Amino acid sequence: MTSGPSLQTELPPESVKESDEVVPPSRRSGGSTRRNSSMSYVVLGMSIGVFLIAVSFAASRANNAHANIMYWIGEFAFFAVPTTYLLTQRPSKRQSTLLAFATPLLSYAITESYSPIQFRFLDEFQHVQTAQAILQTHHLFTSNTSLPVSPYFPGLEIATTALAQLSHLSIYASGTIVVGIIHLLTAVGLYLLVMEIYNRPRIAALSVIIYATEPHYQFFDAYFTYETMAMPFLIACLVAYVKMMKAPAWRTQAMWLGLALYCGAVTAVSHHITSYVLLAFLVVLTIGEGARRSWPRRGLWWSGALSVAVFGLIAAWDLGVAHGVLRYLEPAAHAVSGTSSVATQQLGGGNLKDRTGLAVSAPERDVLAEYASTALLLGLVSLGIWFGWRNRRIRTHRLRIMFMLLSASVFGVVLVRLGASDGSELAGRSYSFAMIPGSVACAFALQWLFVPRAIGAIARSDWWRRLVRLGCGVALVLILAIGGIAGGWPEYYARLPGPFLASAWERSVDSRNLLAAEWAADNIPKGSGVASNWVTGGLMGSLGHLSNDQGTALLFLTTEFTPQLGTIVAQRRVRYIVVDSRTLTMTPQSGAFFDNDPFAGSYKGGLRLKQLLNKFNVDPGISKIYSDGTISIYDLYGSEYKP
Amino acid sequence: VIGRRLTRTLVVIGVLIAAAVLTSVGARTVDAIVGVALLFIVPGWLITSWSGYFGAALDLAERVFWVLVVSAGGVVLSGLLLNVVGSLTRRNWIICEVAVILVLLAIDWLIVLRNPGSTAKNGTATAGAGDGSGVSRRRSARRVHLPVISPVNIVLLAVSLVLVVSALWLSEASSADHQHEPVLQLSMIPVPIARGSFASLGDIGVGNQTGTPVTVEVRLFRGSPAVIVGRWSVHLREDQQWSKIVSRSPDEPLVATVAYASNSAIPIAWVSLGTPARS
Repeated sequence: MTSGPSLQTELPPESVKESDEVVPPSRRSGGSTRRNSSMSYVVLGMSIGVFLIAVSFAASRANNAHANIMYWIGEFAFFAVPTTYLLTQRPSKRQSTLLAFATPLLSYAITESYSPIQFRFLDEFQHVQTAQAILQTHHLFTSNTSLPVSPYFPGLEIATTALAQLSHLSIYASGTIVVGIIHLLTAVGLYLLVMEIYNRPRIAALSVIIYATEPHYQFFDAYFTYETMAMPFLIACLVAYVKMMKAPAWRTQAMWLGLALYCGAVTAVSHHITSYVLLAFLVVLTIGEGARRSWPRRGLWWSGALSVAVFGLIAAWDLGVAHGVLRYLEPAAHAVSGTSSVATQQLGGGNLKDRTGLAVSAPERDVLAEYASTALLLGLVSLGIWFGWRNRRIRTHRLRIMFMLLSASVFGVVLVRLGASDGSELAGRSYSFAMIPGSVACAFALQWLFVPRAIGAIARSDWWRRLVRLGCGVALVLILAIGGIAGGWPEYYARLPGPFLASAWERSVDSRNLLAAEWAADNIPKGSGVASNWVTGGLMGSLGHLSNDQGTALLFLTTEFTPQLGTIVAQRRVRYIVVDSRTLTMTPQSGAFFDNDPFAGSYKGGLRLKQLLNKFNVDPGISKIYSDGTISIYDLYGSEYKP
Repeated sequence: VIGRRLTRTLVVIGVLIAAAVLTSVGARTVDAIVGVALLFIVPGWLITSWSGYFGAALDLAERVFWVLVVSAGGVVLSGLLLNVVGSLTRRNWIICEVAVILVLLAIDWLIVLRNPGSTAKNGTATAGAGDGSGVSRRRSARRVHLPVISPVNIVLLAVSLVLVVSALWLSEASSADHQHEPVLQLSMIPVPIARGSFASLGDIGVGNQTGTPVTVEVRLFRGSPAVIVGRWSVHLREDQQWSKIVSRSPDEPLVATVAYASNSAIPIAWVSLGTPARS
């Protein structure tokens, strides 16, 4: 990437004439400080948004009824302030760079405000187990009872445990630092990628803001999970790729090829899907490079070499080290291909499925917001591609047009959302990748729609027209943000932190089930079979180091022992039962208490019948080995269930 | 070149001091700062200073990005290497990171000695090292490196920082209050645990996670109908545990209860060792 004054060396002369980021020298000197200060105002506005969100979280923890309003005001400020600035001002490179750094840092502050003292998302605890194993054994690739594939993609855990060992910090503290760095790199990497390809600070900064509206950016992509670690390396590989393709000297090209391979290698060992997406991006870009009509095709060899090398790295890792990854990904592949046994999701009925495949009803306004933002996203991407195709400076530049065309992957994500059996989950995850190019197309569309072409046009137009124009632009970004929050993570019932709720993901992780899981890890042999509701079972599987098998719901849904229960216990190798008495009275927010729950969606006020859980207390052969008055752990060995 | 050599010499000294600090001081905050620098900054900083090989001077944003990317990637790959050649212990991490940095410094020295004209004092590229432009980027890169610092900027960014820190503090305070639900854990583990209800020993345990010191009464009942055979008054500090091993016959159930001493009539929780169905 080049700096502002050297722009003419990067772009053909006509683009300099058109580029709205190039400020005439006469204006540059006088307005520099003022414009730089205005970006500080933007950061201040976004910080106010973060503060309001933190206040809403605190209010929600105290059961304040107005917390939700405060939360949305904060989110609006977080997105509307920078969008307003970018649609009305000409940011210099310095200003847009500041925004590219501020956005992920402030976004991460929101994530941390949600849960500042512990991990809270169930998937995070799966990776905590891998990190714990590394700290205990000092070796990689140990077994993981909750997510068997996790130890074979140990990028995040290696970095976290390295810091934990050097600093004596806890896994949580080390992980928070590592993920914070990673979250920063993802957004800054996107900014640098866009700058490298298009050299337009406004577009680059807008891309970062739009990418931040993507459903998983604010929370899921900032969780302690392996995908989080791999994302910035995917983007860094693409940045290095662009640098390599632009470099004139072979030595420089070789250097960037090396760096791209380096990043590709880290991606391959950090997360499977991310490495496949990286390969797909590189293959498409290579095909675009090969589509050049005339020789020499020097770039094709470099691009092809990188693609082949990254393919080799991924294949070597997945086939040589991470043996089980293909089997692990099989269900997801079936879901995409529509051959999953889970019923196809009904998108139009407002029914969503979370990752357990359970039917839950989201509020209509959330469903509406998600649909509106999806439709808007498709519209903006289409417009962006169309505008890009019409622009000679983009159309005739292979990298620019190929990257623009890559944004069409958003359509593929929407197809997955509509067609796959677990569409909501898969699409949500896929947006993180598709929005890398997708955010750029949206940014171009927004600029072309809402930014006057020349300063003179701004001066000549009426103030109310300017206001309406600006309002529309900001409103569109806010719709994207609202839709992203509605369709993203955490689910609507856990959007704000607060007291315990049953089967509500982040809201279901509290000190009781955490302590029970830790007790289990200390006292029960690792890998012992356990059955429980899906949240507590998940914690027992990850933090408790037990083997939590699915398909044990019936154990909790009969009032007395039957031979069928004995069969389930034998087949699923269940030794311990963990009962949370709150399931008797609390409605499951996700619609179900158990994995593959036959009564999913039909619970009103919990399990209700005390006998369902009390049968474990009255069976004389069962030992109740742990209790805190709410959560109890039963040992079945010696009972009718497990004689 | 002299300035660059001086900088590198200072880095060598700094890294050695850092290694000494990590192995001797033991202060968590200091270790954390040194650890972050060793793992996530210094290696990338050294590599990205080879600007002649990167084609052009990296501006500040790019430099920060590549410093972190290269360093974090290096940690991951070093971890894989350590796993093959040894183990991921603290000592090995320190040795590995120091070795990596010293090797990079050696390479850096070689680069400077072989081609002193390719880099400038501040690490920015000179003519011919650009990405095709063939023009010097030193001046422009310098301009971009330095943010405009004005009193207004400082005040605004300081207020922003205060807001974010306040947000985090508020969240931590409210989360700590909310999260700290008083939990009193009672357990009775069969000894050995694999024996389940066949076990002839039971390990009764009480854990205090209430956030305050508590005095509890533990009662032990044996047989059916239950007869009280033991009673212990236990004072526990926060996060403290108490345990007691009791013997039993597998054909008689064992039940333990725990209650606050101030209200011992109402047990908070109970646990048991059952009698095997096929005993």
